[in-house]
Amino acid sequence: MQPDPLNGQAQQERPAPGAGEGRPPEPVTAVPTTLVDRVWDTHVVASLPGGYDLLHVDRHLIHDLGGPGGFREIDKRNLEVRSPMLTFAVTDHCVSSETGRTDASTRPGSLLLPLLRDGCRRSGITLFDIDSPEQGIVHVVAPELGIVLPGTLVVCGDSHTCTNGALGALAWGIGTSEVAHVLATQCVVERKPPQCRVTLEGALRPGVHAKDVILALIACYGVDGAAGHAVEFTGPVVSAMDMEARMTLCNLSVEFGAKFAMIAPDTTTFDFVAGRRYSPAGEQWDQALAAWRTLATDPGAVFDLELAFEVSSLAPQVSWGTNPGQTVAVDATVPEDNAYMGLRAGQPIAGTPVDRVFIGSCANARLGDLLAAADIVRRAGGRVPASVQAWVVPGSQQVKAQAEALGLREVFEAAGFEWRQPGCSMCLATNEEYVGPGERCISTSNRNFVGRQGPGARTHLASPATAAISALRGVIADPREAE
Amino acid sequence: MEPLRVVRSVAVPVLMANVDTDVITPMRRIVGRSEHPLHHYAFEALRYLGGDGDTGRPDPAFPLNDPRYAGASIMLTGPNFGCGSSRETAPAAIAALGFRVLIGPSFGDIFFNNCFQQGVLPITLDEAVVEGLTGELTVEVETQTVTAGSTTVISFELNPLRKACLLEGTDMIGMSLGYADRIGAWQDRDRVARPWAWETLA
Repeated sequence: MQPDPLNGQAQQERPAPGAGEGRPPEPVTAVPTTLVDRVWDTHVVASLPGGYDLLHVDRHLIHDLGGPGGFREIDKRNLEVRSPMLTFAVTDHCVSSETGRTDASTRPGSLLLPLLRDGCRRSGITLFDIDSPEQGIVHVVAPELGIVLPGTLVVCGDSHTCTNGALGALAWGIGTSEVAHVLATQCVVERKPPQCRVTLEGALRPGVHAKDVILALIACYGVDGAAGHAVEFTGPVVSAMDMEARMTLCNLSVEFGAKFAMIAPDTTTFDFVAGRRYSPAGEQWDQALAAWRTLATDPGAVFDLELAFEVSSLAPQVSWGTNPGQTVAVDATVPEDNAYMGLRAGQPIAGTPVDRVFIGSCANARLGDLLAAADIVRRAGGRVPASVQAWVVPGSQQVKAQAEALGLREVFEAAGFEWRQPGCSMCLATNEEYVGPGERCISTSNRNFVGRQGPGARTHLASPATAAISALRGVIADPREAE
Repeated sequence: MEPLRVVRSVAVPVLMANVDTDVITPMRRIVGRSEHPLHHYAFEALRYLGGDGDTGRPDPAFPLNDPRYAGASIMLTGPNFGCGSSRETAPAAIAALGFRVLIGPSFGDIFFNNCFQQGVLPITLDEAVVEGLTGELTVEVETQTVTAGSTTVISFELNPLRKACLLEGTDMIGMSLGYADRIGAWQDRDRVARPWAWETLA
């Protein structure tokens, strides 16, 4: 094995990996460490006062909404981008999801896209622009292109950066001034958070998906259930999940109060990463794999908080209120009156009429999500009623192309859904794609806050399967009807 | 950035739980072309009748509109204040409204960090203590104390690095640039140790 001063002080003391496919070797270090420790500690450039570390950022992601502010700040200070090859830019928050869109299709886009483009050009940052075949939502594009790798430290000026923890990366959201900080220094200043292990036990029933698990978990422990913690998701449910499901799980970890979430990389992860555009290949792949196989929590490691959650009896979930913890099973009743949402205590959540359906966002716009929704559409039959506007917004151009090659576009369009261009779209309406005041939307996104999808908009969070069946029925419905 | 040493002010109570950053600075006001600067629309849904800052009619039920708290630079906040999106406009708007100190039982994690970048000090105290704070408060950064009235002195935690930045009115970028050589050395070593993390990007 290569001597490895950074990743591998511990690695050198370990037996060579390989005994037990995809499993880390037994540790021989005296103090058991966690997955988070292992990646964090290798990225410390300097220890600062007050428990802060100056940490190297391996992959910095910027987008049209936050990037221009970062460039403006470093310009103001006459600073240059330190390591432009380690930053990637996308256009997602402000782009229209209409066919034939341009910068001018939205007011924020017409303002911000030229600024992002200009900043990237001046500093030599790779940009996946509005017309790129690789354009899409930042947290869909980065894993899809192999930009995010296990064991890397990833930041982005977006709170759902935690999505990327599904690959065994340390990944969290930062603010605008921190974007400027990373551009100027390729580092971020942070304290290692307390750590929380969430063990997901049991097995999911048909019709129940990763989105249902994370919504139910948040409903169970509260929106501050993991407040400020670094979460490691583990257990048989996680092991059985594919990468896309793991990304959904980690995506909503910030809605659970977590600083970020991580999942130890395994063969599912390695198979996902292999062969992508920016993934290592050849000899470097072998080196990378050897390093990645050491990324796991030692037996006996102690967490600040241990949570367990049994999923075997879980039903599909739907939020009824204005935070993601206000969620019930689709066959349950609304627990209390909510004037904003126009719901009364005791009414069944199923059967509530919807005006809009949004299948998209960094939570649920990957190919597997669209397949799950299309599967429901095929099985259930019928059409979206005229009173309902149902959108499918693929997470990236690659997802869109793959879905089209599999015939999903026809499935959705034949059933009355609109098939749109990739971007964040109606998740947060930065691109002016609003849910109207008082309108009710079942959405596969991650936030149901007051006004999130537009002033007065009423958002119900759910899985793609639940959103799809609800679109066809015109009311909140149970996807198990179509199983 | 203005140094933060001592703040003396009445404290306005905004004690509802889970006030998220979308509520603090609504996205449509960040990206839209609005008549007023962004902080005019801070807490728009709560602060204005009909939730519309353009009408400019304050909702008297919202504490920020209560004349007793006019000119306050300390805000008492509820649990999980500033949860949600990472937008730095939220603490920036709070700063623009004249607030330098927030005191609450817990804060959204990203929001908490972002506050310091705007020269706003978030102080975490027990919920019962927060709810018991009334009248004029004095917050002193050097001694890390909140003084209520003339007798009650409450200590709070403050990270030494954050404290130094607040007292000096500097920020992290300036500090981290001082480590440029060490960052370069780390990168040189890492390119050898983890070529797989670098070379496919070239």
